[in-house]
Amino acid sequence: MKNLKMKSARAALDMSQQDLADAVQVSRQTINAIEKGDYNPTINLCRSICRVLGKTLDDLFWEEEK
Amino acid sequence: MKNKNIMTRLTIGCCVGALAGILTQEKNIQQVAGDKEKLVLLLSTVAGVICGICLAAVAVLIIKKLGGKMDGLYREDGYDERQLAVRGLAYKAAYGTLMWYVGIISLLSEILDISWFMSFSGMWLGICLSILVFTVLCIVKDAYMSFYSNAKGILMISSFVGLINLGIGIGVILNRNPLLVDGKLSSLYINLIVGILFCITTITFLGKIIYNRKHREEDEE
Repeated sequence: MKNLKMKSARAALDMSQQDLADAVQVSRQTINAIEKGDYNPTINLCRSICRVLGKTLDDLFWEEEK
Repeated sequence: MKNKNIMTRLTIGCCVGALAGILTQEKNIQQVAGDKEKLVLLLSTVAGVICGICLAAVAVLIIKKLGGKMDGLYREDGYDERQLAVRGLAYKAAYGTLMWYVGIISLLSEILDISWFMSFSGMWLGICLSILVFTVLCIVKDAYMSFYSNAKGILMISSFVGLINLGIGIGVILNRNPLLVDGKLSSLYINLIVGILFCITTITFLGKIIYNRKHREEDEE
């Protein structure tokens, strides 16, 4: 499932995938895979991403209940 | 600076010594007989390996001067978590490939009496196949290049090694050396096998770089 919340949080800070990848020390393809929903990051990476984007885990990685 | 000069001299010395060993191989084999022939062959093989290592060291120095970066040592911090997971799956696939290969060729030899691959070069073919599976999987899933290397360095070294081995392999074919010797794959064709491996790796890597560049803007949208 695509992670559009993370994508929009990144876009709000005017960051490219490469910028975010450099900030959390992963490859750009990993950020792309997370946003596309092809990869589920570990909790440590989730926390790193939240810290850089200034959001909480719930904001970016919690699935909305249907 | 002093250490670099010493290393340069050592490298040159090893290259010269190894080359001398290889060039005199034929003469030595003619002069000796029996068990000593095997010793000479062994020493010549060692000289060849040393020569290969020295050539690789020289190639790495040249590539670094041209702006290429290669990570010669495996470092876990060179890959992120997703890449490590992909590499783990790739190692599994490569291991499986090698097991299947060994199983198939041993069955062919035992049941159908086809012993073409039960030789030194036959084993190298299996190793190269498993390495190919690993590298192609890693390249396709963007887990091949570490943080300590760049595309330039990887392309230069793999194309360099591929072209050299391919050249030697083509030379063997042009000399009309038989593919099978005593019913087994000839060891003269190892260079061709390794050359094809590195050429496929180079082409796959280049293709991936072009694909990533083309789709980078789409990924950002």
